[in-house]
Amino acid sequence: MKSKIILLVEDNPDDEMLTIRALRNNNIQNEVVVARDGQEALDYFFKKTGEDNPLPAVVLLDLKLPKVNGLEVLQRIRNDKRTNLQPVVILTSSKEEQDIINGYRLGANSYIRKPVDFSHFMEAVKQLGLYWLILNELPNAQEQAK
Amino acid sequence: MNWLDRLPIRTKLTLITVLICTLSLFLASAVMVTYDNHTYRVQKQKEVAAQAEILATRMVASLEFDDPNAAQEYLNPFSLNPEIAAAAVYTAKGKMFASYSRSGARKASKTSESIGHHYEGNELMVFWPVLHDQRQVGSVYLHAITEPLTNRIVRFSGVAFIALLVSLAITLPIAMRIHYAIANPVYARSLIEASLDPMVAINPDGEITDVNAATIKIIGKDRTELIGTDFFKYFTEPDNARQSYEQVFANGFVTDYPLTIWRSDGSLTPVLFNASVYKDERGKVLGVFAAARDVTAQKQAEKEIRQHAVALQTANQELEAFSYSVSHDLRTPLRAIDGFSQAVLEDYSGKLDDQGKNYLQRIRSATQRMGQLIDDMLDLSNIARVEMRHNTVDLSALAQDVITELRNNEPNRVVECHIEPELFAEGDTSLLRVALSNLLGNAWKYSSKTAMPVIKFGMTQDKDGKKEFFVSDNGVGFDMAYADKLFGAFQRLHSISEFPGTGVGLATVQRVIHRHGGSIRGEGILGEGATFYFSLPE
Repeated sequence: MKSKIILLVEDNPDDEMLTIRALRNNNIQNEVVVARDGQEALDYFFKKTGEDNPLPAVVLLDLKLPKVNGLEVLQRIRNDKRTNLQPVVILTSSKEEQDIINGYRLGANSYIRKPVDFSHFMEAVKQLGLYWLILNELPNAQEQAK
Repeated sequence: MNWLDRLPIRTKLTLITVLICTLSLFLASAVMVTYDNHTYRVQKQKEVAAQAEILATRMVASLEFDDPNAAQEYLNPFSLNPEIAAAAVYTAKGKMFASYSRSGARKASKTSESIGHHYEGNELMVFWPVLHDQRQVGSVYLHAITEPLTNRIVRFSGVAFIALLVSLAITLPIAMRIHYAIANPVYARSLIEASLDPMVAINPDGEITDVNAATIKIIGKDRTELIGTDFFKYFTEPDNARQSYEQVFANGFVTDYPLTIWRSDGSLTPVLFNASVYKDERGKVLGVFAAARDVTAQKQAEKEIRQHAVALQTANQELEAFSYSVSHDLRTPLRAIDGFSQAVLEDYSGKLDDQGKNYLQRIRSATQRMGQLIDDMLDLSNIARVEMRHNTVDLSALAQDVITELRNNEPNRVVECHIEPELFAEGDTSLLRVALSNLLGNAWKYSSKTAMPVIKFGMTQDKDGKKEFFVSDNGVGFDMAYADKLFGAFQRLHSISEFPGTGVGLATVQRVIHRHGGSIRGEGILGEGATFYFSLPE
């Protein structure tokens, strides 16, 4: 069995580096695919390049993104029958009430706010990795496609 | 003339009636007095002349026989007649023969005067010839005092005054009836003319039959130019105006029918028309009476309100966008600073001495503090933006919750807390929770260096007897000299090393209380504690 993939949708290179660092520091060695804007994230799922990309175990989705924003990416994932069961965790700086409500309304599985304090951030990423990569059971990929 | 102009028309008419009554009675009285006086004088003169004639007849013998004593005896009885002041008899040659005069009265002249009579004021002098066989043998003189004219005028005036009262008593009620009948239409007309709203009467053919001054002004044509013309042509939409007119006939009235008057100079006036049919005494419809209300000012005001609303909405959207951006973008670089500082500390710990590590720690704590400031600032702006949901809030229960939370966070602290039970207020539960959480949190924090901390939440009355809630502690307190800085955002009265915090707590509390329409104030004594009083509208 291939190791589970994490799709990190993050436009800020600092946050990208810190997130990966936090994963690695917590001994999460899974492959991390990075999409640097909303369009790249959608391309990962939907762009025809011969062979379909494997569905990630979890999408860590930032909201404020260039080109296509995070909520729209989420909406497109939920509206497509190939990806509508895909676990998506919103991981963002904002804790705006509207963002949280809209995130859940569009079918986010979880909403995590990135703490400024890196120690707290490390802890949050560790919990995320443990939960979504180890504890959580995923639906069968073929079932998803039906 | 000003005060006269201000009198009501009915009072004016009444005044005229009284004036005419009085004047005519006065003139009539004057004529009467003059006529009466004349008659009286002629009468008196005849009476005195008759007495003189009788006296003359009796004097014939006395004069013929040259017997003045006998003559004197004829004169003496005049003392019994109060009218006669003096009397005398003269010989043919004019020499005084005999005389009588009442004491105090003017004496008769020594010699005779010419035959005849004359008045001196109210005194009448009569000389009468004494005749015997067609021959004048002497003359008699009578001096009579008649009633003075003034006496008669006074008596007449009294009568005239009574007559005036009687005639006024009869004429005034009649006059007032008539005045009412005259004044009412004049008054009604003056009201119509005084109206600032244009008023128009229209006949069933749609022609104007009457207008008031406001109509003349708003259309910009004279009364004569308007009357008899088609009513509908003065509107931007004549068909719409005609429709409103037909509606009046169908329903008996229209209310607030919007039309636009087309002034003769081309300017437009938006109006609302109220109209109803008017009838004669037998109930036959004579036409339509319409009143318009110029709504230019309202329309302008509505437009301004709409503009303000749009501006406010734009400002709110900008504020929203701003805080959204702050929330997302300002925190990201902070996380990078903190994260990479930590990365240096972890990965290059061997290459750094203690001072280098200390500097990095300082960067980290400053970053975290900045993060906290941003969060508090967003919370503060959020308090002003969130929609309020009003209901009855159990403040005592909220306070208890907050205290429980504080105890859970610092289980080692021993704080005596008194919460007055069953305190209720009208307001938004979550906002009031934020307020109480800040106030009690402050009390908790600033009493942390006190030996036996006591925190109280309760209700009291201010000096005007108004209900006030309060949160008090016996902590470090504050100097009242800085009381005006208590509620300013990011204002602190203590150093961070002494008591941590960002200085938005009380600003947040104040914003919550103000959004509820209440007020808040703080009282403190340095080293003894602080009390915060707040009121919420009931």
